[in-house]
Amino acid sequence: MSGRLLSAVNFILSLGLFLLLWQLAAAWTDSPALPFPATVLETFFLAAGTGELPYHLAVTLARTFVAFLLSMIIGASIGLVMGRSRRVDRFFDSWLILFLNIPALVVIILCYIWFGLTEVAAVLAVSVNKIPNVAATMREGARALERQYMDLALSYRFGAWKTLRHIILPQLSPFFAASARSGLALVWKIVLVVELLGRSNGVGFQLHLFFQLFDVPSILAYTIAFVAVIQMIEIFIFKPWERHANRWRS
Amino acid sequence: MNWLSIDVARKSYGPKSYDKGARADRDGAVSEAPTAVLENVALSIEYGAFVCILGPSGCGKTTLLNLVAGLDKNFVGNIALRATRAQREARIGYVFQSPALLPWRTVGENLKLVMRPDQTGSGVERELLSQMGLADCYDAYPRDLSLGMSRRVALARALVIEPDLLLMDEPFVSLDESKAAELRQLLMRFWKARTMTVLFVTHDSREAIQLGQRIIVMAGSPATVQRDEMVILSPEQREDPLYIEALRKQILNHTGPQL
Repeated sequence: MSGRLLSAVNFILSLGLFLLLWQLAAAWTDSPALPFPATVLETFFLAAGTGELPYHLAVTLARTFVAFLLSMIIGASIGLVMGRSRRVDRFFDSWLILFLNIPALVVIILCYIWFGLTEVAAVLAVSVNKIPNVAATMREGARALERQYMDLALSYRFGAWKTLRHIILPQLSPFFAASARSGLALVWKIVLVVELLGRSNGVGFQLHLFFQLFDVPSILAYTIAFVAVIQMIEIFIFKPWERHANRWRS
Repeated sequence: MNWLSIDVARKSYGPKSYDKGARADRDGAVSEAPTAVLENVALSIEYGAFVCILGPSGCGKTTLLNLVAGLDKNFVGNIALRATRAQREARIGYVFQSPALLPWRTVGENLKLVMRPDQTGSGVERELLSQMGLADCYDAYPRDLSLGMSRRVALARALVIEPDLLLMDEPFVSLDESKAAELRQLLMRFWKARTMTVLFVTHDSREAIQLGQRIIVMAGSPATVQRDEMVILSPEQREDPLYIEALRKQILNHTGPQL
């Protein structure tokens, strides 16, 4: 209990120091380019009150969610196949390296050129950026699968589905969790760029607008709101799930 | 009766195979030609027998068990397992060299996972665990078990499906002698109480003599059957070091001192 209290106090102190430094810096520069924390908070409530911020936030979250889901499913499947078959792995390894190293911006631009400024192109661009990372992580997981458990599944005649569910997936869950976490962090950042370049709604689009208007309080208000939501997802969804998946470890 | 007939003309591992046999190559070198592990192994085993397969480590005993279990179908020859008297397909239980319990499932769940659909909800796994002195471990995760207990659970998992054929691959290895003896007694109790055929692989000749009605000695590279002996000893004699040593000398005379 005292440990939890201590970490709460720690968090409040550290946040307080950050706000204090911000306040001092804003007072010192005395420029609209660096507004006071209070101004940003006011802007936040204003934007939240008109429903504008929640709308754009929801749009961005929806895109993040779909792109995340797609890249996890496709990336995990590719990684599994590559991890289990040495021949496939050898053949496609250079492809994976190529895709891992294409800059996100290039993929986004090409997707918009090839598929137009559409929702599909936007989500696709984000997924293509993320899939290679998921595949590379899951490949490691698939390589680390223990033969003794596969023998167990085979000799006790588990079907394909039972083997996947009870033998393979539990062994992959640490790798899955790792790629999901780093995945979310990467995906939402790319979604903003995608929106900035070719969508007419979402947080990224709004940031673009505020950039042209030089509206720094709004930029900060949107950023903070979005980061807060992503942190909530991390704390209330990912962490409990990870704890549940790892309950059998000491 | 030859209920189980094993006829392996040749089993070899390819040079680039993922199989563990390929990694166990004697000199560790990656040979280009496939390595033969088993050659002309022909055995017929009747229903309900307790057969020990005795041989030095790495001679291909595990490979033979894997062929019988159907884990590896890549060999020249034929292995036929007759249906049981009840005219259903024979059930095979396999106790691996490592306990191979799933660490993400409790002891009870590990047993439930292999059970047949018609066994679910019957509570047989709980009953079996308590017969084996493991009642308290039902909800424990494997990480909390000692090696001896893990091996006991691995045996329980193989028995819970009521196997007709029980394959055991050095199931009591790396236990201290008293724990191993306890488990051997437990195994004998279950073998006598149920009708099942046991194929028990070991490199320990004393263990083979204590347990087996029949001992098949394998050796060589590729491995072949060197001897096939019936062990006619009473249960008391099996506990007697004098009888064991005498029989051991007789068997080892022909195969060398490493067993």
